[in-house]
Amino acid sequence: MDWGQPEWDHRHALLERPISRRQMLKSAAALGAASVFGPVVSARAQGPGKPSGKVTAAMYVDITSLDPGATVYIPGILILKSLVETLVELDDKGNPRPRLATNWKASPDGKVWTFRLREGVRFHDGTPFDAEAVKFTFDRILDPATKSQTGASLIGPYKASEVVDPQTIKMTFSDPYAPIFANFSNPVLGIVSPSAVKKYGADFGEHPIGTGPYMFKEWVHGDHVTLTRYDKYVNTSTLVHHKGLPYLDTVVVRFILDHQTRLAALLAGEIDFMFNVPALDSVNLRHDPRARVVQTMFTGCPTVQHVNRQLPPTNDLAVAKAIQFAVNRDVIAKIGTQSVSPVAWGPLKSSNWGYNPQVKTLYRFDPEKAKQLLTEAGWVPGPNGIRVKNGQEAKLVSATKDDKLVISELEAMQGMLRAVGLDLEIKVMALAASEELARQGKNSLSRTNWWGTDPDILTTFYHSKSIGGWNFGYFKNDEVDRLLDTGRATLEPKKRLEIYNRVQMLIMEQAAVLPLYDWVAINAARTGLQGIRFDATKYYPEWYDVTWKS
Amino acid sequence: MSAHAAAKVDDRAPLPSKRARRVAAFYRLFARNRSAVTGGVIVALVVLITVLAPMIAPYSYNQQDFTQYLTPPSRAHLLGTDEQGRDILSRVIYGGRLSLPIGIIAVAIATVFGFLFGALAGYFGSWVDAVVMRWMDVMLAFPTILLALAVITILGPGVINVMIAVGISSIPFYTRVVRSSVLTVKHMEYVTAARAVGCSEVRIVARHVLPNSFAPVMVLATTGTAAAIITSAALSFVGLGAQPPIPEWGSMLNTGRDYLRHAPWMTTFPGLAIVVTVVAINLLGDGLRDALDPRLS
Repeated sequence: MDWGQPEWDHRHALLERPISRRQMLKSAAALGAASVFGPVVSARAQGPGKPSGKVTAAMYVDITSLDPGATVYIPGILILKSLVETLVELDDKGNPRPRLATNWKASPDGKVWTFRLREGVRFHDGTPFDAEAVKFTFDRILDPATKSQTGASLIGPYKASEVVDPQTIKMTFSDPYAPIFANFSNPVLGIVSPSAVKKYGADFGEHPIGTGPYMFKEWVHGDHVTLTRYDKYVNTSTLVHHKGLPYLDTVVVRFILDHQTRLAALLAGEIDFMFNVPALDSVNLRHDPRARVVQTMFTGCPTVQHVNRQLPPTNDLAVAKAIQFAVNRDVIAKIGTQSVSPVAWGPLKSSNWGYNPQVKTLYRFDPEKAKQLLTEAGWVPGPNGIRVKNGQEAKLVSATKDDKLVISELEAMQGMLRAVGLDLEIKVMALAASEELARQGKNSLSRTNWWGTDPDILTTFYHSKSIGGWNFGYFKNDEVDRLLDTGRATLEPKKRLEIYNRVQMLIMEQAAVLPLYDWVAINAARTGLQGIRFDATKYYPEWYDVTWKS
Repeated sequence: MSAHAAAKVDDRAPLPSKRARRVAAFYRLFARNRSAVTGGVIVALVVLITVLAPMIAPYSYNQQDFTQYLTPPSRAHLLGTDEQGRDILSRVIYGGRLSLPIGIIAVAIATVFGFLFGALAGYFGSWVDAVVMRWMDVMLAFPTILLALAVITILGPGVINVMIAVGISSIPFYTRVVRSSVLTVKHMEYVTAARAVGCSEVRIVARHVLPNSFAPVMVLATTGTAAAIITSAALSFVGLGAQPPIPEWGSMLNTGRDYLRHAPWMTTFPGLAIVVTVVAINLLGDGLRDALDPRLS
């Protein structure tokens, strides 16, 4: 497939093209009209609302760092979307569009990419955006000192870059990289200011500097982050609905972890946009004049519980498979999402282009089958109902964040597993602590959701090189590793689909993950807030076009 | 003294012991106090219900029935069901099995250490007194709930740790009470006499001095149990107490909070259980204090 020149190339190279007489006359007429109707037109052009104002959004997870190279959590990415920009971005159809890069081409073997970069863009600290900055940003992700987790995964087989001239960069990869555009459009790979990184060093995560429409102003830990409009912003996106500066001058992102508190804040007018409205409350919200529900079926991985395939007793395939049959996913979806989210059967969401519907054929809710599998494998019910094999009890443990809906889901699973003779202990703690235990492989069940447009996201969770990172299930399968590596390097979409279909079946045959539901994101906005546009993942809203109805 | 006057004087019969007279007077005073008796009866009922839980509760506390998701009170489920389809009535009953013992054991811990430190400080005086009481002052400077929170953060969540945390945070109150009781008697003649006779210090303290503080400690313990129940419910409310799926009144309040608009029965009934138990214990404690009053003065 020829990724080559984007169709938009010519429109951006307007200055380089000769202008015909007809075009000259047309422009003159337009200019004349504009000068007469100027004031009216420009007021309109600024948008239907006021060209100033603030929006306050509230997230349900806290952030650990605002360094794109290090950021791992969703609200961090949400904030970075306005602060930094990426080389490319994806449109609704998954096609790459220019952002900081204006055009690009690959070498015949697919291992060398040359990007031409946009001119006239400056970082928030005034330094110019150029090829050096791009090289610096990418090399930094590879540097172990940056401790990049998500970035290191998304950067793929990137090896090194060569600065050809300030507007041209040549990137070398060890293999062809099929999901390059999907992954490079993630704000985790947003371009940062080298001088700012050098200035702040390890503290860069507290002072992020990019080229985005909003600048970082302050971060009150545990409470909020404030962004202000970057008054020298040069518009780089082709997907936005207006040009020039963003309408609103301030964006505040608050961290309100408790669902009810966040909802109360929205209804009281303390915040203007909230993420993650509990499904039960969203029903009432639809009739509430103060706010409206903004629902998106974003693409990526479903909400799942990774099953630890190296920790006893889930290292026993019979136990792992029994879990698949023992859990009633409809009930979990009911408890967690009021059945708004459909049940999931595989490691990819059904909305992702790489989804394999065959995964539905492997399992079903059948506790008797679960009991049968366990008994056949030698797990015999002990005196207290917990199964025992070779003197070892079937005791599972799951450390979870203190989110009531998540805990309720786990309690339901606890009961379902108990019914077939498996004991699940639930440990409630802070998110960071629970994820640390998961990273260390001490959790039998670990919950995740993920966003992404390319099935290559499976690498983040199921490739053995991600063990100690996001591969909470400690899943190690040589064929899966080989297929994931090949899928990344294969450019032909049909072949990629075949590869990822096989990967999904292998993962499910090994019962490495318990998919729960394709989470539909239910957010809410106060009435009057308009212009909210979601990016290609359909999860992250962009604030650039947002304004208030006046 | 009225007790003497009331007793019949008979040269041949032995006089009723001082202790017996005291107990009789106490019962008389207590029985006259209606609210105290009500409190006592309710507490006894609560204890009885929770002890007989397996026989009384219609369902197991953990019996999930997903077809009964968030149902309001009905004949099958008198107090409704929660988001797991579990019976609220059964969970409230079983919850008492946790909430009451937590209160009692926390107070027991506080009492034991209260006696120990109070006796040390009161009886030996000088620098021992200074060290112990300054340490108690530091603890008293913190609101009890914060102190309990600090302890449980170190120990980790769980029922046993809640008992320890609440117990530790209550020690200063008991220490002070015991100490002041010890101070009132330590200079009495019978103490000096006991020492002259050759009693060991430990025996003097245990046999002659501490019993003087039993009454005030008993009053404190009764109302303290109520406070301990509330503090432990507060700790469970923030997720630091009983871990799921164990029913504890405080954690039931926490879970129900997300369903307040849709299923208010999830919070109302555990909340009522806490209120009724705590008020009953407080009434009982007030009655005890009033009945013991003559003794204290």
